[in-house]
Amino acid sequence: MPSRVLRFRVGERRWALPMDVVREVLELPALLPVPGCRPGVAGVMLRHGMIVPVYDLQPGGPPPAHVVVLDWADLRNAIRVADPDAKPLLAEESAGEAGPPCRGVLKFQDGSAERVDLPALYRMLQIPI
Amino acid sequence: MDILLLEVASTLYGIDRLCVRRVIDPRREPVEEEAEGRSARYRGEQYRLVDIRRDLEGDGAPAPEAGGRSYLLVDSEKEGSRLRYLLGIDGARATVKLEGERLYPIPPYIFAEKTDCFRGVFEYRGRLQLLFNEQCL
Repeated sequence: MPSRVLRFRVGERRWALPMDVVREVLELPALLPVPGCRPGVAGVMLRHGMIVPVYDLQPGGPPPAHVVVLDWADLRNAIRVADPDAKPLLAEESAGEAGPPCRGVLKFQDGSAERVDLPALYRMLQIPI
Repeated sequence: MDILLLEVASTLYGIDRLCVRRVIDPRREPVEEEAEGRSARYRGEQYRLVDIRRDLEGDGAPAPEAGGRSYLLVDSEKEGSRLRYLLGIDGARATVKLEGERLYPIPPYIFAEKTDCFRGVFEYRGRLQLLFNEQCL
């Protein structure tokens, strides 16, 4: 069944998230590093009166230029991503293998992307759900 | 709430001004740190020494810049017990006023171990800064 997703790049991989968990997409703001954080936490940002943790999915690499703010499992978090598509895309399920934390592959008119498995992503980032 | 802005490793932090009994300049008043760096003697009394720089950056933390470091004599209370200790810093900068609602809590799950070192985040001159929790340093 077709679904609307946000597509973006993490390193060499292209991932897709369901639009209903995407609160907003921002150009990378100034982050406040917080000592003592778990690995992968790039820092925090203040957004709409709330501190939002920002996670780096590829620590050590060049910092991607955008963050995707997620509202899921009653928590607000953000991930750094590259090349987010400006508009939600219509995707269809496709056969194919995906690496963690993704499950399944989505097909678009101009290619494919791995579907992010949110529970797996949050487990990877050690976010309690 | 009044916040004392302090500097550690070229980064500004805040601490509740009310809990700071004294800002000590060791060039005027000697503070003798013991070899392990976990306690220090000041005005004839022994205090626990909290070395923020080492706690934040590990034992390999670079030494303070020229001019040495300063100390805060912190006097607080936790669960009915009095807490008095010396806090080693690179310098105290200014006291600023903070309205309560402008202190933003940090989600505890981002921390690896100790989750209560900071009371939250506040804005100062358009930049985000961390407010230490003086009860848990």
